[in-house]
Amino acid sequence: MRKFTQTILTIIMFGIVLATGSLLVSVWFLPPAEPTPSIAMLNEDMQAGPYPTNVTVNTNITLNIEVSNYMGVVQYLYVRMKLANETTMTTATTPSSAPTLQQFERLVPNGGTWRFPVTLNMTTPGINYRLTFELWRYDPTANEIVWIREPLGRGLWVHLPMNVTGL
Amino acid sequence: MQRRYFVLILVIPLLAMSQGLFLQGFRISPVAATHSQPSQALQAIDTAQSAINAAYINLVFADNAGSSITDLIGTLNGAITELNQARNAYTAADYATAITLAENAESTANAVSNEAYLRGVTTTAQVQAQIVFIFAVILISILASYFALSRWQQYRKQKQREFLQLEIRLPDDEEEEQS
Repeated sequence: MRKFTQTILTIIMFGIVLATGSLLVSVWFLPPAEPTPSIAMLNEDMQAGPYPTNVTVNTNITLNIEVSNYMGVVQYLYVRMKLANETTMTTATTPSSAPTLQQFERLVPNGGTWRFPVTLNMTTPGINYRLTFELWRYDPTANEIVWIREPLGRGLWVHLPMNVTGL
Repeated sequence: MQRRYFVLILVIPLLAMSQGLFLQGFRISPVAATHSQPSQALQAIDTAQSAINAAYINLVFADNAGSSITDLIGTLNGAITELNQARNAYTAADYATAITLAENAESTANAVSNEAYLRGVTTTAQVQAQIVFIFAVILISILASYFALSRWQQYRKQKQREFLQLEIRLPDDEEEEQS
């Protein structure tokens, strides 16, 4: 009988040790998942290319922007559309200094995707334009809109290099 | 006669002012309203944006607690759209529409904020109650197992004792039979 009790207690203790050990390993030793949203640009047909890189003045072009939230919690996201050139373009660590042409904002649930079309008409001819879409979010702690960065510090943005020619 | 008029001229505005009528009438005068509408619209837009931000903070709280907030996200997105329309109306110098839209957005955001906070608090309380219940069940199970095992052990010991007593008695019985 004593042996039976000992066996039962040993099994219970083994179970407790196994569960606690698994928990500790998962919390302390395994690297946490890096929460990062994503932004992508699609063409008019919702495909990843070809894109309208050579456009004529006063012609409508349509693009689709797709934003996904993998940050573990609902996010208040902003997409800022800017028309930059080679000197004002977005870099890996700094957002474009060009003015925001249009701002799109929406709450995206965790695991959710926000897709929206953008139609614009280029009125000024030029070369090496960068039609840029930067992903920003509202930071409740700082109470301001901040540019979203990856864990390595790289900001999130997509751009379309384009030349606009006259008629 | 002139003295009477002089007294009336002094007393009537003083009475009106003491009742707040004079000031109220001045405030709602059409001239004043036209001048203050752009700033009122701007203020309404700012207030609506603050309300949306506050609602978002409560949504994060509810989301972290594990509440279902899909419907609230949809409603708050509606308020964000309305606020953008208010901004467009402001840009188009349609201040009255901007104020109406911003106030609607603010009202929606406040409703979402309250509901999100309530859901967050309720879910947190439910989760805490579940944790307490699970711990109680585990504790009761361990105690019950220990109690049952000890009782069974006692019963087995007693049976064993009875069996040994029987075994001790058996040879005597045999001897008695032989004699």
